[in-house]
Amino acid sequence: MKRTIPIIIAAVAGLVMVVAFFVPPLIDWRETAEEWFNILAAVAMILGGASILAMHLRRISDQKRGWGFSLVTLIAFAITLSVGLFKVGVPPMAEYPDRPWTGEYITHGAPLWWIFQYLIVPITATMFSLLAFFVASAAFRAFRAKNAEAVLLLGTAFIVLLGRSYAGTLLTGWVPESYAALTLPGMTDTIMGVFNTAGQRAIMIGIALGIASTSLKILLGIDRSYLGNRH
Amino acid sequence: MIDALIQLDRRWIFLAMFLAVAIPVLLQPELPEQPTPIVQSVFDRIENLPSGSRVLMALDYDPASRPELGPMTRALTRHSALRGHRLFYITLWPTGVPMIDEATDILETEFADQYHYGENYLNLGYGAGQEAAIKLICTDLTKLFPADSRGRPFALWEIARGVNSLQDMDLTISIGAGYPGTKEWVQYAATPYPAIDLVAGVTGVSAPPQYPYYPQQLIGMLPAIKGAAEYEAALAARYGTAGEALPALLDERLAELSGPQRTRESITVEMAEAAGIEMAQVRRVLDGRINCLPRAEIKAFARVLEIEAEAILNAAIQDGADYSEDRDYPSNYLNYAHSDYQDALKRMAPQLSAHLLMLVLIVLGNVIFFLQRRRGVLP
Repeated sequence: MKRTIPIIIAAVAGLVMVVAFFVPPLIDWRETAEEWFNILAAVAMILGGASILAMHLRRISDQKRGWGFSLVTLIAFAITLSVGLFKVGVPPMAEYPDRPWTGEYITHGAPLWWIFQYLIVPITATMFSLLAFFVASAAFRAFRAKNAEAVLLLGTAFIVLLGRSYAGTLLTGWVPESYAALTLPGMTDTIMGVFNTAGQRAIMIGIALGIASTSLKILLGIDRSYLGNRH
Repeated sequence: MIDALIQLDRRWIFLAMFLAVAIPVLLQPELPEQPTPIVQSVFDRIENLPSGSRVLMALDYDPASRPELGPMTRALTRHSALRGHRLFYITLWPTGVPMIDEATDILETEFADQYHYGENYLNLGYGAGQEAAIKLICTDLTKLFPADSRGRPFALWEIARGVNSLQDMDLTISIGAGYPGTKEWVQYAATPYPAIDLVAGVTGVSAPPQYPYYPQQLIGMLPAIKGAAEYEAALAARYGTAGEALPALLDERLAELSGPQRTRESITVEMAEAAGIEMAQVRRVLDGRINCLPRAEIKAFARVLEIEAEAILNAAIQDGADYSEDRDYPSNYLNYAHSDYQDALKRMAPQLSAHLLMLVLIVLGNVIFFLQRRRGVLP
């Protein structure tokens, strides 16, 4: 029963989506399925929160290596959740001054806004910025012209790196307008618009066929991996 | 020498990258940009929509991608506002809500006179459900967004009249950093519903997979910070005037007139009072953020500064303002060629030096590689 019902739900929901695409009168069914999906997606966020809580509590109780980080995670989680959920420090809306909790939860100057602006923004921006340093290090140590394919890759990288910056315009700005395709920005556009597009299309079609076959397997109950390892 | 390079501590590379980015950020050299066709298509689409058209902006990114995607959000918001379009903001990312606030802040400051919440812009906030959310709003917007971010039912807002689904929008702009993002908007909105016109702005890493969609499913695209810089250049060419003649003239007169009795600040107050405008607006004129003035303002400034109105008019014309055929400007006509409105263009110099450093490092790495091969150290 624990296996059969989820398989039936998945098959019915999936078939409704497929059939409604080709039969317009069934569009209401599809919309209902989509609404259910949105409700489930919102509930999944709660489940995700509960899962984080359980995982880190276990790490702390087992005193596993790095359990201090789990403690910090849980404290940050609890503070952010409570500050946002209870709209701490959020003034009521101007239209309803005597009704608390009517204000927007991320009102300018409120604690949640403060957490976002002065913690989340700089932390995530820092993490993303670190990428530049590691890419530079990798360019020095790993980007080698070992074979013909690597030489092609290197050549393309050179053209795109120059063509996507002012250096490309500066170096090949003297090329006449009629030969614009031979400038570095022109060659970059050709690489992105022709070679890249052709490669991406091939990948996308391959993925789409893979998704179609996997979806059919799920709809027919052949692939049950989404039910978890035990199934 | 070669041995030293082989043993090079990677912290030296980190330092070089830091300097390559930090020096141009501090010096802020200006590099010109020309819009490429893929960017110009986005600009033309927004420019050619009739004033008052409905534009939905989906800001599907978080603070990690904000430095790359924030400038294009601002440029697209400014351009849409300059054309008088009605704007709807949504996000499919839970951490994207403050990105909407950043965009609406522009409407509340630079376009405060024309833009009023609920009349010509609306913040619908976060919608859960990724691609299913997109599919849902294609046929019924209120099923995902029954109310705006302030909790008021969607249908009660003036801007919501006649809007039932995404298909009622004249243009949809997807600014995305990943999943769900532009790819999902193409697959679940623009492709099955040809009535939905879609343009996009994406990060550098997610740009290549979107190219196959241009120009059929995507009318145009702003790829990464360079795309944003090209868009800012297009915006500056259409809604901005380069030049320093007007700020220089006003600065010179202020210096000449100011003294112990009449300070620079007091003259500025006089200018604001004479023209009937806010002090902040006069400051924008003085620093070049506004350099196309209404004729009435020119006359008022001329009286206070004790010069001919013709002199101010000529300085504005020298900067690029057009007063031919009795043309006049509104009081808050901002100069989008001013560096304050060119966040992406400012980042092109650090990008250039970082790219050059990368090339140098690749070359250096390969030189070492081939020397090691020659020595027989490597196979």
